[in-house]
Amino acid sequence: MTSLWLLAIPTPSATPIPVFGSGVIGFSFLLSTIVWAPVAWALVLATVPNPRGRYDRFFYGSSFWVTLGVLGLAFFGYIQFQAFTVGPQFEEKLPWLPAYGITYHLGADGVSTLVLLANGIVTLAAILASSGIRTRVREYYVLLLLAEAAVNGLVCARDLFVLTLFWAAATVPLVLLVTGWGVQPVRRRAAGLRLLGYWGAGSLVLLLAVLLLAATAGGNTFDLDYLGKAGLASRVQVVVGILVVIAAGSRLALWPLHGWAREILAEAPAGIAILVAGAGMRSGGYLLFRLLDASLHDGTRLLAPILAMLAGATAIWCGLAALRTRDVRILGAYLAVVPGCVTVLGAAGVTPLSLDGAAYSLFGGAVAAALVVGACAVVAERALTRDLGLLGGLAGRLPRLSWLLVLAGVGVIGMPLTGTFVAELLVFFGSFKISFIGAFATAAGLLVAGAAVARMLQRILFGAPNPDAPAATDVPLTETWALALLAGTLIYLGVVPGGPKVAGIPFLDPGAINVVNASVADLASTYAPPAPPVGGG
Amino acid sequence: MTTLVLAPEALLVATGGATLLMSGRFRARTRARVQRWGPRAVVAALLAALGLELWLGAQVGTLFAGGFAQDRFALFAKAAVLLALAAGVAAADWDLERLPGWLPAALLGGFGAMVAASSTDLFAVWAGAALGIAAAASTLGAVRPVAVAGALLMLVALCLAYLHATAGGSSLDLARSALGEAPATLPLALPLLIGLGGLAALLVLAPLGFGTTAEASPFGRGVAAGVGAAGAGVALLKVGGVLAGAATAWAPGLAAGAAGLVLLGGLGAVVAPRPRTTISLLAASQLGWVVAAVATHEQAGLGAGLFLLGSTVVAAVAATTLLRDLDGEGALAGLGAREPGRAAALVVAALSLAAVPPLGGFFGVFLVSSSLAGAGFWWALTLALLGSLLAAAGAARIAFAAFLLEEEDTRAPARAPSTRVLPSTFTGAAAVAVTLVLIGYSLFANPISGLAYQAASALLTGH
Amino acid sequence: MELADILLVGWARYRQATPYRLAYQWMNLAVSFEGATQFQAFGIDISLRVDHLALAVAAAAAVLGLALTVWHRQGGRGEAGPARFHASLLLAVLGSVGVAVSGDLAALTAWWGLAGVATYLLLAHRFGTEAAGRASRLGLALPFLGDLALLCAVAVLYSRFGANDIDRLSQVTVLTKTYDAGLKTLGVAAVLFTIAAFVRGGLFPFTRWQLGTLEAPPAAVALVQGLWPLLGALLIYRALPIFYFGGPQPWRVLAYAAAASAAASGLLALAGNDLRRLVVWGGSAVSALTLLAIGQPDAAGTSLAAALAITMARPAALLCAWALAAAMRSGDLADMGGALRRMRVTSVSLAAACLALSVALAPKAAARAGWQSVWFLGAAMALAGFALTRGYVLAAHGELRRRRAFEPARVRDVAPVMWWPAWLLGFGGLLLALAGFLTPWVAFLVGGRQPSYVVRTDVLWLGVGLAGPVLALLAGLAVRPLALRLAEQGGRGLAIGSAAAVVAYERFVRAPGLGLLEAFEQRGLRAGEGALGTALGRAAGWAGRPVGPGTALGLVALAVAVAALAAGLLAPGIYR
Repeated sequence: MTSLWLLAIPTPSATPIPVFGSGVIGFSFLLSTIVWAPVAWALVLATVPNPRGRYDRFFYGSSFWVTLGVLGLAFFGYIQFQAFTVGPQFEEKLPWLPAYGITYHLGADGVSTLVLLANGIVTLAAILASSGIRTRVREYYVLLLLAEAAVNGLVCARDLFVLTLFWAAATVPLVLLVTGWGVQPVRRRAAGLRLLGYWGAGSLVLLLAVLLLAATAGGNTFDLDYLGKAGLASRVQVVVGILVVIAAGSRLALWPLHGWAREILAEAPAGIAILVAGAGMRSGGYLLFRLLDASLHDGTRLLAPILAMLAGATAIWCGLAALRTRDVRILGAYLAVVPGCVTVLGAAGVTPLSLDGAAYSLFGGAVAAALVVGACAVVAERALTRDLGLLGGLAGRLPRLSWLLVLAGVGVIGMPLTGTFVAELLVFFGSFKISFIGAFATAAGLLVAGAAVARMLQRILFGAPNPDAPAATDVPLTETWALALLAGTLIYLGVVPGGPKVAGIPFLDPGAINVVNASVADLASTYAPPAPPVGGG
Repeated sequence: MTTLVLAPEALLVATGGATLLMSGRFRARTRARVQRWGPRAVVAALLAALGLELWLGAQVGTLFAGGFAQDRFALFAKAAVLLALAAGVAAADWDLERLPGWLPAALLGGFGAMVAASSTDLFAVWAGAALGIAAAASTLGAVRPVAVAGALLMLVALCLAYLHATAGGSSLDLARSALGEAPATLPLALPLLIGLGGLAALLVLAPLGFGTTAEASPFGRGVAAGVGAAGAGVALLKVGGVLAGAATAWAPGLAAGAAGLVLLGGLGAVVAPRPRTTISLLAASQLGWVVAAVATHEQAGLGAGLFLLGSTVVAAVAATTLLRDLDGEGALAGLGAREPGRAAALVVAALSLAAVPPLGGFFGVFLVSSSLAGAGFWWALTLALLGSLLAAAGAARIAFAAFLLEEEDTRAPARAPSTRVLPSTFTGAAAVAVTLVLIGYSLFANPISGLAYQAASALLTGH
Repeated sequence: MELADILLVGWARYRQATPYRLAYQWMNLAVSFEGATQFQAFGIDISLRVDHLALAVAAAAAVLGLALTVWHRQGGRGEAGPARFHASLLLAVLGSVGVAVSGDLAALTAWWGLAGVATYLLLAHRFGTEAAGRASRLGLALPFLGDLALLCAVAVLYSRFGANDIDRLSQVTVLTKTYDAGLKTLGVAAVLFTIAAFVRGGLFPFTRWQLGTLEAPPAAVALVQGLWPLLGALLIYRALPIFYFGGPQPWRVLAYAAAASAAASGLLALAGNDLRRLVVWGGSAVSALTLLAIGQPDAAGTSLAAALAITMARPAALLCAWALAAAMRSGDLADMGGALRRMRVTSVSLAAACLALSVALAPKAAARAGWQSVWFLGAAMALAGFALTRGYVLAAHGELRRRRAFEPARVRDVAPVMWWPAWLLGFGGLLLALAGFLTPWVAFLVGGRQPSYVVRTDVLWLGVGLAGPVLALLAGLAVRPLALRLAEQGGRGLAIGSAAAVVAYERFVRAPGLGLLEAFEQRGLRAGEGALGTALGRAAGWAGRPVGPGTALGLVALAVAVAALAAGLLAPGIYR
């Protein structure tokens, strides 16, 4: 037992510029708490008696507080992160199935820390946006908490078995949530099946990739610390890389694996749509980062051009599809795919800077995507119609929601003052050297998405009100808070990516981009542009 | 080694004998007491036997001049059988079941499987498995299952006879050493494939009621699924371990058959109209993975197969028994609201049978997959994973129907007439206990899988 | 206060030729420990690089903001959300000042985008009508192309040179001796800079987003059309080294595109009788000429002086045109007239603005730079001047006819509080345009030795600049009906042409493209998913069926036996 504790204690290291408040709290089992606390509470909620729905609000409130606590822990991890130390921190490594080389190995590098924070914020917003759930409340929050645990778990995993376990575990709760609480009873079952099909197939492919990686690397282990440095043959790396891209594409809804996003993000209730767009889809980008860029250097170099073109094609396609649709929720769903394309372009850029941008877009893109699907869902709910032909002139009737929708729109296409802008800046700066055409294609996709955003805002907010449309009702405070939380995060990320400083010293926040860079600089060194030959020029 | 190691078997037989007394004529009041306390006593005895097995069975050695071997495989297999029996008896609703009903047969079948697990002779293994399977088939209360099982057992016997002739004896060690370097030839491959195929067929047919749709009692179906599968699985693993040396002759064929079984089971589970059929197909699909594990013919694979067999038989028994008389489209609607414990146990078991993480089934399937990949059976692995994906869809249907489907959503009657409004305390507690057991199988995967790994070593080396 | 601040700094820096630099670190990353040194660290500074030009541009933005705030106080009385409007206006001015003083191209891109966001908010200020909705769409969708082009240009430069700093990217050694970077990189970046300046400046063929947003509050429209051409010119000026070292192609692209844009805008300004559209087209033509001129040898200073003048004059012309149209209840020149008598201040300001726009480029031409397009420049100046002054003449002179529900006698000038913004912008623009003839002013703006002018040449080119207005005045006074009729016919033809173009685009580009997309999304992807589901269902039905008496055993045993035999016989071991 003692060794178990010792294993879990994070190793401290010096930080040249100490963040105010850093080093105060030493927290063992931080990651396990973040991952398993929602599961534990889900089990509690599952067993609490609830005669005639008397404690429905308790389910909602307690889930909120538990998630807030998890977010608090993620924030602790974020500000305690030693930004000048290489490798994962807060590590917990215990033998799990030793005979099969499986360890319960959790750890968080800068990217994981940031994604954990993003997941926490997105889940909190999802729960706030779920305040209107009135049927089968217990089951709803139990499944929501289980899904939260799954997306957090795969981010912390340093062992491929653990990663695969959490990756696949996220599917069933979300399928049940969509099938059980979908907006349109007629279509929600089909939507759930689509999610199960696409995500299940993605899990299957990921499992194959993991097994191939482990089988060819030898060593009877699934630990990333070993597999990441296994130095496989290029051919194997390419095959594993292709499998990883397919698995990640099934979550990021890359073309042509985007069929589920249109259905799920359009049919799920607002809270679930926010969770899927903000946390579920980003896990695809995280997988690319963790398995492709960090572990398969040769494979990444070979696949980079294709991946970049895929990002561009997806962005253009989804932008055009968003221009075409008449359903506001489907429009939001297509737009939510676009930030993921910037992540993929960054991952394909294979320069340190593009990888920084890709990692940053896992946060910025998550918030922007969650905000746009959430805002579209709330608009559809409040305006009592999803038809863009009927919607119109809501700017006067729903002013707060209008601002949030405008922010969501400009956030998706990455205009200044938003976190996605910083991510785009870094990604494009880093990508043009390697993926020249892919970067231009993605920029074209952003342009089309911009046109779609403009059309959306014209139709919903600024156009003439439709006298035949049902009267829009005001937005409840909790839903506004949910969207405002996302909007505030988006702007904060865009304004102070390096964190606020007092007299040149970081204050409370070490700066998201610094935390990300601490890990990216290490893994991306292999992708650094070559030095000029001696006497060259 | 002391003969105390036989205590669990002895206790099992004694309990089985005791259950026969329940068929005696009693006064109404006594009958009520027997009805109330009999099954609980049986569960207690089974748990005691399990405890004894885990305590005494840890020692390794032989008895009866080597005819009975207590090794890690025996320990693991017997513990799994006892746990499955306990889960089955506890999960059954004894207000609806007859007493003693199929209790003696179930315990006898369990004893057969335990015999197979400890035997060191090919024919003793066959006899033990045959006892288990026959007893299990008999609990379905129809002739067809017994006939089917018998026919398949005959096929297996033919293979064992061939082995006897080839090795010049029926001892497992003899067969192991004789086939150690046997070149893979067609005359060798065919009988081995037929024998192993027969065992594999018995394994996956057990949850399917050996091809019958006779309206057996829920407990009978559960016993058939669990004990039958345990008997066949133990024999398959044991024979597979013995034949590992000649694996090139049969492993690809078995892998192909296994992949086909998983795929068929998964496909069936997606559309099966009745929850009972879905559960059976889920179990059959997962047992296909056990067959695939045997095809890997190496320690990790066989260990994973044993681990998965343990998880599957417990889940299969529990799920089949817990379904009781709920059947037909929408029969599960509102179960989560009426009997949350039972619904939870049912759903957890179904999800485990579909290898949905993080339940025991997933651990087992992952470990088998890893071994299949190591053995180079990528094609079989891909097909089988596809089958598991489809199975997950089937399990999701069960979960949806049990917890999310309102009674008014379906045209089916809200509840089968015989289902009580509230379950008895024992039944409810048993359902919760079964859920905990199923979750515990993944929580404690570490010692369990380690034990299975050691058991596989015993299979391959004989000590 | 901001203006005063800028003027104080200008006073302090008046005699300092080198720019004053101050940087606040926004982002600073050590991204790699290996490879080329310039890529091992990345930083974006919110840097202040205050040279005289930056001060002048910032002052122009502040003056414009000030004047338009005052104008809007009266002219935008009926507008909703005054706080929102003023916040957006201040944000736009802030963004422009940021662009002016940025010494870091990444930061410049951020400020540029910030001004873009503010522009969108200004153009989308009104809501609740179809026109307002259209304005909001055009104000975001089309200009975003310019923002992305700028982002890509800066990114292309960084990806090869590993630098964002404007001064570093102006060094000959960096531009010519950097490993793995050459003419192609510079050429691509230069073309992208050109696109950014054209799109945001609203030059032909990207004028649509400025024409389509005329329904926004006039102060907003004026601000947008005043600021962006100046920022575009400034961007091209900052990027001049990229153009110089990018070989001849970038120059050709810029020069030919600007020339074509100026000619097309000038001609389009002649078509139609809508005063505000006429002013937009005319202003666009003059702005295009600025970009044409800015790249010519020794011409940058005078071109920027012209750009500053245009920044004042275009808003003035627009505001006056809007005031005339509002007072006379019609934007059609055929319904206008006699404004000089009834709306003297507005008319005179409009005349001053038109004159300023007409002669703004004259000093540039008078610089006696040895370049070939001098004749084209003269013709284009005259054309733009003619087109712009046509609007003034037809609106200010002639008879204002009585119409239904319109009493000419009731036409009054704008409120006195709106007078001085009009004077300030109109005559300020004219003064700045004439100031282009003064060498010290040009030298103050860009430094260096500026060519000394010869009075005769100056007078000649001033005459060329005035030729257009004079001709327009004569034509408008002498043959007003003919002028109106010809313009109307031109406008009708233009409307028919643009309608045909729209129809062609809808029919041959948009509809097929989106149809293809729809076909894939609905009939392709959905159908594929459906077919897969059906196939699985069928297979599953088949697989589920055997779970009945007898057949189960038969099929499963058969499957096992067949698969076992097949794979077993094919096993490599058995082959041996």
